[in-house]
Formats: sequence, structure tokens, C-alpha cells
Amino acid sequence: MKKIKTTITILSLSFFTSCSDFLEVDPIGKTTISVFFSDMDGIRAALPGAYSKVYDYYGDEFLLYPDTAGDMLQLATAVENNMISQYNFTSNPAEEITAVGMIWRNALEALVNVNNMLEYQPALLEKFPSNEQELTQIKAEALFLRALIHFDLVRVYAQPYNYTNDASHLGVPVLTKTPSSDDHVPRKTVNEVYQQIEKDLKEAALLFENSDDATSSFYASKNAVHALLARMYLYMENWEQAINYASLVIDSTPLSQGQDYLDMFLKIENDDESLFKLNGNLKTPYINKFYNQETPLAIASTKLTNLLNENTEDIRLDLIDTETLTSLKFLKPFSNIGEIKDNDYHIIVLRASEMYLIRAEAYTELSNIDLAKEDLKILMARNYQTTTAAITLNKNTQEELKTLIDKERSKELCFEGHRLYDITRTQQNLIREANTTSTVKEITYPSTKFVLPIPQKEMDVNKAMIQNDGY
Amino acid sequence: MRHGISFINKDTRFKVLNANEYLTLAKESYLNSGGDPAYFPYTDNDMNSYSTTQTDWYDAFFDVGATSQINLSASGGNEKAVYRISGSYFEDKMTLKGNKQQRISITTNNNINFNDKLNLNFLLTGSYNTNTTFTPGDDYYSNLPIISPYNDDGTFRQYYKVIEGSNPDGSPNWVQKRFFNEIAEREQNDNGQKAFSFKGSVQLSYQLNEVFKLSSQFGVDYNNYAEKIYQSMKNWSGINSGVPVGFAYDNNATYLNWNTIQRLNFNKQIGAHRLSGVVGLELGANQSNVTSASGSGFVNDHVRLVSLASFSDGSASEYKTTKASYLSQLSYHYGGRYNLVLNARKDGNSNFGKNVQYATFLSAGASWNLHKEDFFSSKVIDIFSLKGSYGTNGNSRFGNKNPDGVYSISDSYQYGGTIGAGISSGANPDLSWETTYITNLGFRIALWGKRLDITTEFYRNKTTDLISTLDASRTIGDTTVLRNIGAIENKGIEVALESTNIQKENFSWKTKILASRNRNEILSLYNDVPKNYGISRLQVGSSINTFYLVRWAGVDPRDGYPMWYDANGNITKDYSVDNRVANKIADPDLFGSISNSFNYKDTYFFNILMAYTIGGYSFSSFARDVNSDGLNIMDDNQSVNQLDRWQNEGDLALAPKPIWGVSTSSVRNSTRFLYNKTNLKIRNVSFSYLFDKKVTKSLGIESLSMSLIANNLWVWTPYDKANRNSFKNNIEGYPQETEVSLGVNVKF
Repeated sequence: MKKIKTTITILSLSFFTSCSDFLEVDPIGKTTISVFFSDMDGIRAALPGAYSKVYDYYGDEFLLYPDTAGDMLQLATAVENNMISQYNFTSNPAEEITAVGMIWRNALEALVNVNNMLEYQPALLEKFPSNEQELTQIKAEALFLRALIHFDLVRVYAQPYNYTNDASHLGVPVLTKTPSSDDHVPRKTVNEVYQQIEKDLKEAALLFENSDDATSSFYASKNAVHALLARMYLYMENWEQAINYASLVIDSTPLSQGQDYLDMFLKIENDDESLFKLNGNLKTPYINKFYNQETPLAIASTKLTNLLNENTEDIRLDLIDTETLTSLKFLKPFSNIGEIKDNDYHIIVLRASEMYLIRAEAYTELSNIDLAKEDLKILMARNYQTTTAAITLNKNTQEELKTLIDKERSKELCFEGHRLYDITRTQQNLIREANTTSTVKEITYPSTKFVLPIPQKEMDVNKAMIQNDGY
Repeated sequence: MRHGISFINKDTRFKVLNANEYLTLAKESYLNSGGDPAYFPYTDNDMNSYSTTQTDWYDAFFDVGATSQINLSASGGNEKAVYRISGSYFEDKMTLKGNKQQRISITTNNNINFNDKLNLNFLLTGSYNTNTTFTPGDDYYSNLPIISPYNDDGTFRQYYKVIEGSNPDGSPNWVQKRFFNEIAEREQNDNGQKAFSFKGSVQLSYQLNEVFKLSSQFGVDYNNYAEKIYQSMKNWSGINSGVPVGFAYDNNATYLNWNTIQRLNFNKQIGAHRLSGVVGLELGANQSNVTSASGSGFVNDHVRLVSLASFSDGSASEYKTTKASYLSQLSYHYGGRYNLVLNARKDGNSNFGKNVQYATFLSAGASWNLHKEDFFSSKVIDIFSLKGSYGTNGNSRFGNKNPDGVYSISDSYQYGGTIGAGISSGANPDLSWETTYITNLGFRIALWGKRLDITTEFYRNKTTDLISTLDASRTIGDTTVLRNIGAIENKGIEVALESTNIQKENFSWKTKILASRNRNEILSLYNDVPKNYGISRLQVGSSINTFYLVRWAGVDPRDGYPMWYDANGNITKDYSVDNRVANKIADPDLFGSISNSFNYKDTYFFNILMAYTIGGYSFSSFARDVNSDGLNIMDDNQSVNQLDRWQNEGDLALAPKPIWGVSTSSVRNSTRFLYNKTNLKIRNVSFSYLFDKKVTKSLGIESLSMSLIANNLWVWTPYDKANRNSFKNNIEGYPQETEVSLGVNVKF
């Protein structure tokens, strides 16, 4: 009996003594933020994480919204379709799980991931000076992403830059570090938002100056920064700068031609005219469902197919399914059962063709008609599969060219998330075709309908937030 | 041994439109939206005859279920050892077709006294479960009654055809849509689970001397689940981008929990004074391992093994938490009249942050049995006692939201095949503990030979630094955040009343009534700023369960459009969240149960249990989806209440004018979807009969009884109407089940 007693006592004692570190269990796969960013491995893992979060909002409603709210899409309305209220311009602040709430939530979540990297990068640089080159590269990429996210948010939730003379109308919050949960973050003016975007991009450009040329457009690079600057200056109507940066890109990146152009969308290519694209490997974005071939939720409107059919040689006709009229730009078809590939729904954010269109538009605005026509001819030759010499372009006035560029942008950038912004920044009215399935056929510029409302949940918790007019 | 049947309670199930009603309402909504009748989407065609199809989806998904259970048990023993062994078999074929459960279990409990000092108790339970599961989502009510799950040739439907606008030449634009057929999934897919569970505990106690006793307990709880799922390539669940591939999933999860308790008890009696207590240490851990494999691309549906898929993938995860508690208790009793108990406990959990790993619990309680006092003499009152207690409880309730903020590595952060990490919860360094102060006061009084026994308890719990999950500004990168929001108070009363109404030699009738009332009030909020989350609002002086909604003002008889009250109580036709008011709470005024039991000659027993709730409100987002006034009518079947819609000028309608695919804001959150929770339910009725002992003894049976039990028989709510839905139908949409079973109990 003595033995049992002793055993129990020893057992009890051993439990008592080992107790102090008994509760020290490391959660598997999880680390507190400060510990996570205390070494290079952390920031190295945070970078793909940040890109992945940017992909998440691009892959869902963000990319679909400007085309849905434009005039080049026909939506299926008799089935469940997440984009219906944007299509019918009945967006409602309470829509938490579709465009209104999700773009806001997911873009801001991506922004927090980016800002965390930028916040911890200086300390890491001090601690690991030998990793300076890598850390500089990470910082440059993070700055590009921060600019991109701000630019995306300000286009969705605020009126275009030229809505007021000095862009003093409400934009979105400018976040250069993650606020605490007690902060009430206000909206800045559109001017202030663009200033921050410009600052981040200029700094990124400087940091990229000494880096090697990017091997893959899946990551931010010098070219991506220049391209986004060109696009930003276009929106700001700073034509000279738009030309400068578009030229930098055009000089370094040739246009994809012929089958290579089609393969940029249809296949998984590494070498194409894209300047920045988001890697959709193993992702399941909503765009995949939206533009599926079986029962598409949206197809090209007659307005778009008529435009493309103006020249039956147009290579871009091959990017629209002849039978269902759906976009093939995001389709990476399964060849057959035996060779199932990972989903590769890549999303092209910036590419060289857009740079030609930006430069042509800027030249036009500066009344540099010949140079504008030259850029357009290069694009047309590619699209009609001929030579620039064979293209005749008998548009000679500024107005004619502006209309032509608008049409060319519609055709070139359809389904890639541009249309609504092109309508609003050029201060046009939205005019849809007569047999549109939408309840809204026309909206005159300016309109409060051209922006989404700030989500109600944000309004409820953030006292500094101001709702957009009309909501 | 018990056998029973179960079926859907027709009275409480959610009533949807039948085919004729649906088509009428759909066409009307379509015309109201300005649609051209020539392009009405649900026009008969070669694939669908919408006008003649009448599908009752409840019939397609539900059937009469059957349960049976057999229990066997034996017990015996002597002074040294006692044993009890029991085994049971249970089978349930559920009302929701495609669901079946079988369970075999064995329990054994042994107690051995080695001598008068050392005692060993040993408990083992093992069970094996086989489940076949199928869930139809909301298809049983939301599927359109004009679509049949089968094609004309009897095969499962995969498509349906509708008109979507017009072609440029003016002809209707016919499009073929996918029909996600859950019936086909039920018949063609596999979804099975096998679970093995084992629970065991050993307790060894040793009486050191008259005062001290040492005991040591060790317990293990082990569960293993093996799940096999196959999604057939014959229906949409096994088709990827138009290619029939089939998907197979093979998951295995193991959960192991163990705990050990070491205790030292003492007990000392000196005259009328008795002092007892315990100190102890409790340690435990919960561990889990989950591995899963998935595969797709099968040759045909006959091969359903992950390993034979042309593409397969796997993942594994682990989880572990540990916990430790120190406990102590001291109690003092005097002559059965005064009792005093002091408790102290310290709990730790590895989930909590480093600074807040332990929570302390302290309490003191006292009770006084007045009826045992010498001065107390009453012929009416048999028992009269008073008790009271006070305690504190600290809690960090942070869960996995570490206050330092957490980065996690997971698949969802991968980019181009590179594994990534992202923030999964933001930093929240200001979060601190919440503390609850618990006060209890109560009495028990029993009268007239305990014919009436009343127990009443008053309580008041005050929590300071209350931790609550609040909606966060999206700028912090999270949707919710844990905050210390202020102080709240819960106070209430609980009454239990037991009465023996009739007590005769051959007949007795007993009633037991339970009644509770709880009131919740926010005493203070930091910054004094009311906080909104979803449809609720936190404000000082109100319940934490206060709804914050725009008030519904019905339908405008002039044009059929919805109306609301603005913040000042005037009718408006513009929905605005600025008009929300906080004036209804979820807490009921009173709730509880009433049970009556009758006994005749100790042979016939009858028992009826009813539950009631009075007052309080409930918001039904389910009701919002099925009363969409045309917004969702193209996809989802609607409530029969939609028939009371506005049609002509002057109609005093309950539902607005339905408009196909258009939101008039009528479905936005408002008090239209708020229901009074008052209800009365008959939960359980049982009748049993005990056979005459003389008769059974002659058959060699000690006792034989039969019983008939019915569960969930009946529900009443205000505003019930036979052909409309009221609160009882709107609670969550899932129909309640009524079960009736007959059992036989034999004792040898």
C-alpha cells in the first residue's frame, strides 16, 4: 500500500512542478505580428500574401464592376447574379457581401497586409543590412501595391479626378499605416489621394531604378510602376506626364502580336506584353463563374460586338465566344480529363496596348494629331493583322480622334475593368443599347450613380466617414 | 426496446407557393416591372412545361422517418466489487431522405474496494457510429414548384430553359440554364461518416486517515471520424467547367482530450461543527489531427477512391490547447442549520495571451435552514431556508484572437504557388479582462407536508470591462474586433414551483412550473458612444439585445409601394438607415415550462410537458429572403404570405406590389421582419403502463412496462392562420419534426 501512496505523491508532484511551462503551446501556423516580422522569413512570406490579397479583390467584384456598370455587357438577370444592383444602379450601402461591401473590405484588407510590410521593413533593414537589396525590392513592390489599392478604391468610391476643378471632392481614406481599432479614419479629398499615389509610385520608381529587370510580370516592376503612373496622369489629365511614362513603357515592352496576343489570354504564357498581372494559380475567383461558358452571367452587348465587327479581321473577335458571346479573356479551358491543370485565372492589370491608347489620347489632347494617329495605327495594324502602312486613318480633328480612342479603348480593354471609369473621366453620358436587360438605359453625366456608396457597416462604426451623395 | 416514427410537422413547416400561385405571382411581378409578356422567362418550351408542372419539394426531400433502439443492461456485485454493464443499438432513418444513423455502444462501470482505505473506480464507454448524410440546403422550400427534378424520360434534370430578353430580330432569346439538382446529388453521391468514440476514466482514492483523503483521477476521451464523400460526375456537383470529372474526398479526424485531477479532501466533525474542504490541481489538453485528401478526374462513377483519381491533393492540420486549474474549497456546517462555503479557483489556458493566461474565480456562499431552529414551529411550513452567495469571475474570452495580432500561413495566402502569410487578426493591445460580480439570493419554502414546494432565486450579475465582438472599421483590415465595451448588468428571477394537487391512494396529480425572467441593461459604455452592429445597437440604459431597425409602416394603398416611419414617427416612402430606432428587445418577459404528471394505481402514468415564452422579439433574415416582393422570385420560391400583395389602388395589402428583380427597399432590414416571440409548445407527452407484477412474476419477469412517447406535438403563436406563415413557420425555415415512439421495458 505504501508503494501506491508514494506513486500518487510522486505523480502529483511531477504535475505541480511541470506546470509553469505547461501552458506554453505554440499555435500551429500562426504567429503574433511582431514575432512574425522579426526575421526575413516573415516579410518574405508576407509579400506573396499581400499579392494574394490584391488578387482576391480583383478576382471578385472589383474587376466586374466597371464593365457591369458600363455599356459593353449584357447581364443574365433571370438567375442569381451578384452584380445585378450595380447593373441596375440600385447599389445599396447594406450590401455587405456583394460589390459595395466586398470591394471595400477586401481592398482594405490587402492594404493592411501591404502596410504591415512597409511598417516593419525599416527595422529589418537595420537588423539585416546584408539583405538590403532584397528588402529594397520588397519595399518597392509594396509601395506599388499601396498605390494600386488606393487608386482602385478612389475610382470605385469617389467621383473622377476632374469632377471638380481642383479635385477637392471627397475621395477615400489615405492609409500609410494600419490604424488602431479606436481610430476613426476620415476620407481625404481626391487630390490628396492622388498625391499619395503619386508619392508612393515615384518612390517605388526610384527604388526600382537599381534593380534588375523583372523576370515575371506577376510581380511589380519598374515597368509596372511607370505604367500605373501613366494611367494615373491620364486620369489627372496631366497629358505631358502621361506621355512621358507611357513612352518609357512602350520603349521597353513590345506589343504582343498575332497568336502571341491571343495566347496572353488563352494560355499561360510568361512572355507577353503585360506589365503587371495577378497570378490566379489555384484561385477560384468569381470572374470565373461570371464569364463561364456553360451558363454565363454576362455576355458581350450588341454594342460591343457591333464595334468589333466593324472590321471582320479584328483579332479581338477571337477573344469572344461566337456562340455564347462570352469573354474568353479569363478562360483557361481544361483540355481533357487526363490533363487537369491547376486553375490559372490570371488577371492582367496593366499591359502595353493600354499605354499606346493612353499616349494617343494625351497627344490628341495636346493637339498633336499626327503622333496620336501614329500610335493608333500601330495598334490597329496589330489588331487587323496587317502593317501600319496598310492602315488609313482619315480622322483629323481632335473630336474625331477622341471618339475613335474611346471606341478603341472599349474594344481593347473590354472585360478588363475600365469601361465605367473611361465614361466618367471623359465626362460622357452612359448610353446602353435599346434591348439591354438592365432596367437603366441611360444616365447623364454627372451623376451620383457613377460611384458606389460607402458600406453601411463602415458608416456605423466610423464616425469620421461621410457617405457619398445620393445614398 | 423502443420503436418510433417521425414526420414533418405540417402545422409549423414553412408554407411556400404552389405551382399555380407561383406562376400567377411571377407573371404579375414580371408585368409590374414593365416586362413584355411575350418574353416571360418561364414560358413553356420543349424542355419545361412550366404551366403543368407541380412539384412539392417538401415531398421530394422529406418522408416518414423511423427510429429504433434496443438497450440491454446488467448489474451486480458484492461488498468488494460492484459492476454495471450495458449495451445498446440505435438506428434512425431520418425524415430528411438520404440520412441514416446507426450506433452501437457499450458502457461498463466497475467499483472495487481493495480494503476500507483504497478504492478504485473504473468507467469505460465505447461507441461506433455509421452515418449517411445529405443536406439539401434551402432547396426544399426555395426550389421553384414549376420545375420538376426529373426530365420527361425519368432521368434527373440538369437543365431548364427560360427566355432571357429578345434577340435583335425581336424573337425571344431562349437560354438553357443549369439546374442544380439536389435530388440527383442525394441519389448519386456518397456522403458517409464512420465515427469511433472511446471514453475512459480511472479514479483511485485513498483514505489517509479519518480526516484526509487523497484521490487521483485520469480520463481520456478519444474520437475518430472517417469521412468519405463522392460527388458523382452525373450531376453538377461532379462536373467542373463542363467536364464530368467526379470529386472524391477522404477525411480523417482524430480528437484526443485528456485530463487529470489530483485532489486532497479533508473532513472533520467536532460536535455540531463540521469543517470540510478540498485542494486540487487539474490539468488537461485537447489535441486534434485532421488529414484530408481529395481527388478528381475519375474514369467513371464506379471508381470512387481518391487514390485512383487523375488529380489528387492532400492536407493536414493540427491543433493543441492545454489548460491547468488550481482549485480549493472550504465549507463549514453547524448543526444542519448554518452552512458556509468558500471557493477559490484559478484557471489557465494556453489560448490566452501571455499576460492574461490565468483567470481567478472567488466566491462565498451561506445558507440558513430556519425550520431547524428551535424557535421555529409551524404546522404549515415544513421547510424554510434562506441562502445567498457572492463571487467574482475574471475572464479573458479572447479565443484565438490574440491581442498582439496574428499572422497566419495558409493556402489562402499562396501566390503563384508560393506559400504566403497574411494578417488573420489585427493587433488589439488595449484589450483587457472582463470581470463579473455574481450575487445570488434565494429561499425555499415547502408547505402542507411538502404538498407545495417553492424555490425562488434572485440574481444580479454585473460585468465590467465586458468583452464583445464589434463590427470594425474595414480600415483595420478585419471585419470585427474584440473590445472592452463597458459594463452590463443581468438581473433576474427564477421560480420553481412543485405542487401535488391530488394525492389519493390510487391517484395522484403533480404539477411543476418553472418560470424565469432576465433583464439585461448596459450600465456604461466607454466614450458613452452608442455602438451599432448589424441590426443591433448598444446604448446605455438598454438591453444588449436591442434591435436597431427602421420601423415598417406597411404598404401604401395608393401605389403598393412600401412605407416606413422616419425617426420622428412620420410616414416616409424613402428607406433610410438614419431612421433606425432602438425600441424592441429580444429578451422575453417570461419563459419556462409547465409539466403535469398523473399516476393511477401505480399502473398508468401520464405526463405532459409544455414550454412557453411570453414577449421578446426575434428578427428573421430568413423571412426577408422569402418575402422579397418580386426581387428574388425568379430564383426562389416565396412565402404564401406574398399572396396578400397589393394589386389595385385602394388595396389594404400586407405585402407591397411585387416587381420582378427590382428592389423597392422593402426587403431591407426593418421591423417588417421582426416577430413577437410569444409561443406555447407541447414538447413531450408520454403515457406508460406497468403490467401487473403478479402476472409478470409468473412469467419469470420482474417487471414489464410499455410506454408511448410523442415529442414536438404542437406549437401556438399569436397571429397564426391556417393558410399563412406566422412566427412559428418563420423561425429558421427548417421544419420541426414530430416523433412518436412505443417502448417496451423488461426487467429480469
